[in-house]
Amino acid sequence: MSTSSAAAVNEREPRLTLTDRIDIIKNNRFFPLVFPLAMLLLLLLLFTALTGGEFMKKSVIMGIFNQSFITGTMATAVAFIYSTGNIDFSVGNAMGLACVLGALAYQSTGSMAVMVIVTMAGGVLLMMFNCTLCVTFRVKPAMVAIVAMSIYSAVCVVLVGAAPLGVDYGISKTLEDGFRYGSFLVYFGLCLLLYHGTAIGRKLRFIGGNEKCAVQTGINAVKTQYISFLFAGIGVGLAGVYQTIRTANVASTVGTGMGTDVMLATVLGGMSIFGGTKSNCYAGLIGAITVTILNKGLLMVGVSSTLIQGIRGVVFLLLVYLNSERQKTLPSRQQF
Amino acid sequence: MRKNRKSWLIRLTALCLVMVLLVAGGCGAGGDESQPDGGSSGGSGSNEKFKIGIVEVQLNDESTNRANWFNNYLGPKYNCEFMFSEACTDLNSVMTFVENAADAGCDAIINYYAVGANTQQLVELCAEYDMYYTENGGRNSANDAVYTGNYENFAGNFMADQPDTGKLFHDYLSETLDTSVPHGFIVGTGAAYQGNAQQTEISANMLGALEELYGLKFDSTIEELYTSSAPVEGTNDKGIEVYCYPGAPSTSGWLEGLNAAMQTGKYDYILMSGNVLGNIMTTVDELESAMGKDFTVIGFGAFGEALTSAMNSVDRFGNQALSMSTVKFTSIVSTMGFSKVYNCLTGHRDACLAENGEPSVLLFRMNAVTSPEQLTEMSSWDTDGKWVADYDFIASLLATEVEGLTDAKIQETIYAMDYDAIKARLGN
Amino acid sequence: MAEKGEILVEVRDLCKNFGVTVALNHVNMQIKRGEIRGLIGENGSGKSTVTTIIAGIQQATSGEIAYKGKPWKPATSLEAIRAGIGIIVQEMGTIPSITVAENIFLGDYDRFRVGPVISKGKMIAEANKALREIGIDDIDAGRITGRYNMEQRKLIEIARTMAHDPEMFVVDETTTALSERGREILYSLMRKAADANKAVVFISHDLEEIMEQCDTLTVLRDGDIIGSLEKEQYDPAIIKNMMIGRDVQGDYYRSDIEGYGEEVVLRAENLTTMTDLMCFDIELHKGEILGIGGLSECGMHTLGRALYGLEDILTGHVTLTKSGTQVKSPEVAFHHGMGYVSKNRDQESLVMNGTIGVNIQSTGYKANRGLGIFISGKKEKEYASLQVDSLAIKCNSIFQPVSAMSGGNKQKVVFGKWLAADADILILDCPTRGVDIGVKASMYKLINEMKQKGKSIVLISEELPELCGMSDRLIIMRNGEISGEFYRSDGFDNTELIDCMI
Repeated sequence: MSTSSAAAVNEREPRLTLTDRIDIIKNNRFFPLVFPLAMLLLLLLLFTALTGGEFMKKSVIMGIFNQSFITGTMATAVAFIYSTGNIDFSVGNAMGLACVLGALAYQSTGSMAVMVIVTMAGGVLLMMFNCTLCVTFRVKPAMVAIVAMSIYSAVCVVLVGAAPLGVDYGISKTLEDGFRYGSFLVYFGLCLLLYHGTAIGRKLRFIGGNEKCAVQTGINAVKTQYISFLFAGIGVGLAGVYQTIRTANVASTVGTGMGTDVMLATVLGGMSIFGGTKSNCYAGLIGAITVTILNKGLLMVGVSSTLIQGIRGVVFLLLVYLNSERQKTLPSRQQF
Repeated sequence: MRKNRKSWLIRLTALCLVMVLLVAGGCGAGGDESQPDGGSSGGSGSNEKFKIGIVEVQLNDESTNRANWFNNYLGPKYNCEFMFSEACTDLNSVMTFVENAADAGCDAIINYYAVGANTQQLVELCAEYDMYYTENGGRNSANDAVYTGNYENFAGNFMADQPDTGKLFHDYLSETLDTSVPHGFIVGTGAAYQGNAQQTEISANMLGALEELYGLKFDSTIEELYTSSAPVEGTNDKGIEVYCYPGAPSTSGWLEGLNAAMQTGKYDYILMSGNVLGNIMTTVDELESAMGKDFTVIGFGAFGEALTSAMNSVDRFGNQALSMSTVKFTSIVSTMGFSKVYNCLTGHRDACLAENGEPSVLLFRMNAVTSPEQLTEMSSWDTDGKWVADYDFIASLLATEVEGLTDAKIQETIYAMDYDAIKARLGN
Repeated sequence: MAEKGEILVEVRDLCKNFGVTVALNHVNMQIKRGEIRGLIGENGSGKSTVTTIIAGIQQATSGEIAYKGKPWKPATSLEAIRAGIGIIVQEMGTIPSITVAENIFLGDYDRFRVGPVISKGKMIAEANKALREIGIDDIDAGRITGRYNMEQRKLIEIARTMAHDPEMFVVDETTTALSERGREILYSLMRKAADANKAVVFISHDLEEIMEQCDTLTVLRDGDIIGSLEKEQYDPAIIKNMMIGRDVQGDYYRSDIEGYGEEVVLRAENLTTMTDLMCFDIELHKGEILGIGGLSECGMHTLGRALYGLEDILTGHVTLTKSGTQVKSPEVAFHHGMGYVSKNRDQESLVMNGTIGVNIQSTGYKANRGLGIFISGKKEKEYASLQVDSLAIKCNSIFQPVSAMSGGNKQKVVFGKWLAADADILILDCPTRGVDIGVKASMYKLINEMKQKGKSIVLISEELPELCGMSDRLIIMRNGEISGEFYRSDGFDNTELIDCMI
């Protein structure tokens, strides 16, 4: 806004309360990007100071990336779904099942390439299945998620059986460097470009803002939502690959709880999981890194694990309170 | 305005809470650091300070007790600092903790979240960070390569002597079961179908005991019975009702299924290979009053609320609600893990190797409890200030304290700590 | 018994800010017993703000209110209702998923407590009684509210307010959602209350209506009270001048009788929809303003939706004659240069949480491309700014969310979106609903300009003067059929039109 008009308004104003001032800052369009990043940097500096510089060591910084990879990739992927106002918390289990399929494919072929391809394809297909239920059959997204969660985890248990499925540890480690960083950069870059540079992200957000309005503005809601699940599927598959090569084995419980981790990361990154026009596709990654820094930092400072849980809870609450505005209207899409 | 003030009050409270927690966190951290300094004046042990990361699976009575022993009893004496994980639920979370522990300066990891298929990854991960590694688990086909693979940072593992645990159940049944009266048995096989060593041994021994005592022959092999992932009838030539029931209380419908089986009226002995006493005792009590039938419960247990109340309650027939359970002493198990990594850290890795040069698996024997008196006595043993694993015992497992200590000698010392030895040691 | 003329509510120095926006600027006002007080002003002038503060829906930034001589600061609307101040709001105020009775007694279920449970039967009986008392007999209090249409739901809200027998009640912009019968019910309730020495505050955009119903009138503009008039001082020109701050010409419709092209641009043949329409035929010509009127249930709104591909069509089709394309979905319609403005602006035409920019830019994803499929931020900004400037949308920047804007400004954003898209065919369903006369005038001007540029417009409206003032051709519908067709060149005769409607 121009300074002159702001000044003109101020003259007439009786008094701005602090709440109003905070609201004005929070409504600034750059706030959703700047605030989470600022918090992240603040934590980084805080822990650097508390650990006497240890926190800035290359190995620690690399470790932070390593640990944020999976959740970060998932959250980037799921942002496409959240944007449209769909809440899908079965993504963790979808990733798990994709991992299991990939590991089975590896065990029968012995080829890492096949594992990667099958895991990716699995992620895409499973998300397409969710999408078909949500969009074509118009089942409420939260219902789909609940059902999909139990189906996927049940299939995982059946397929995996007693012992986790192993993947060659040595090859996995070699993939962790080049392949993982490369593919992540490509995927994240592509997401950023397509989401923020083209009509795709705008359409997704518009649907999340008001689906009826979006339809009346000529947006094909069904097609667009399929696209959102497709991008999410690619990310879910990719996260599945990262999961498999990180642990080099796949247990039947893989991915359990990831759905909520992703939601948490997204919210910490400053985005509403109910989507809408303020959505973006980088919040999840920022959030995931923030969580990792907090965990690692507290442990390195020497805080005991029980206390870590408490502090983390309080910090999360604080960040979420500062980050998110309570929506004045209800989410546009009915979840149940 | 009033409303505004109120919401500010809420915000202020929240802020205070954060501050308090952060300050408390700082104090906790400070406290941890100061303890070893005070302890090192005790003189014994190495002068070098070690930091050891401990991976926990669950946060419960046992883990609290364990942390207490490590932090307040063992730590000061041997100038060691311990760092505990949150409850780890999968390999990824274990790896994350191990990495964070390494960054925080840990020299070794003791892992209580043991899955055979994960051992190699964790050993290799620890190797990257120059940390020694041991886990509370055994040697099996999934992790055999770690034992034979010349991993310099692998200290071997430690676990319960499962065949011995199984034998405790076998022996108890042999002693108490009146075969002249017809009985029916539910055998909770737990996660034996998933290869859980403890539950496999206990299930196998229980079924074996029945075969022996009744002189019966199952139509299928005992292995087929306990490896079944679905409930299965152990039909046999003597017509004794045996129902093998797998799964854990966390499996949905598990308790309902058990309830239904008990309601058939065919069974009166409930034999549980997993630690499920806390989950089933209420159901047993309800069915006893509803059906007017006396159930005998035998199960694997751990010191704590659930076991104490099960052992001390008397059912409506005047019998002990829980007839027999096995228990272990946390401090003994913890000493085993500690001795593994501490011996390596102090340059005595050879004391962690078996005679063939491969890392060994240290074993401990569980104890059977059959009466409330015995339980009361034993559960008072392994608590704050009265540890079963005292400084003498700890010292006897460390190569820095005992000249020429070998793995066989360590194992012998552990085995020597049976009920009588502990009783003699601690007295009453 | 309270006396007529006694001051019931007194507002002193009331201020309200929304962030940097000032909604009320030191307002002073007295509301007396026994009168119907009209509040009038452009959108965003603060009339709803002051009444919603009195009724506890929101809180003032500063200032005081006295009610019955005592300080009054309700925290919730429930508190206000219990103390005798009721409000019927502009936006939908009922919850669709619960029964009518539950809506009527919302927050007040305890009075139907029988032992530990709430007696639904008793509540429904009470609610039915409340409905009948105000003359509504076609609503069953036991049914789910969502099954009734907008007008009936408004009536339910009125019943809710009246069921608490308020000392003072506010009717905020309610009549636009009501039919003739509903309005009559409301007017008589207002009159009855005033006669019983209660106070009524009536907010409306409709100058005629407000002059007819109110004993006294207060005009607001930009959060300030401009002045009050007694009934004998009423003069439309003066009131309009007070509202807008400048003289307004008496006639703001188009004055020409220019015709339109021969070319048919959109044709519906044999159109049958799930509801309302049966074998319907209609043609729209190039450069034509086609007015469609009738009673609100006559099927004209469905027709508008069907023409834009929003309805499920059973038989027949809508064809864009130039390309021969059949309009089967809004997607097809949009990509072939059509535009649609819904009558439910807040629910369907806008993303309320979105910014002005986001809303306007939604039609320009293709037009604003820079390199390949990538959208140029610069183009996109210009796309929105152009409309904001040319439509004089009141805002600080295009990054301001539309939710905080007034109705008229919101509607300008909707228009801006379609103007930017340069749509050739525009279907406008009640485009001036809930919009003040200043904005109305500019909308009419825009519609006329579009016609001059050769665009075709379907103007669906429930207001006859607007239809007569703007249409080249006027179709009146009744029960899903065309009951009359009139031409501007022949002149429109009101009685004739109304005959066709009923």
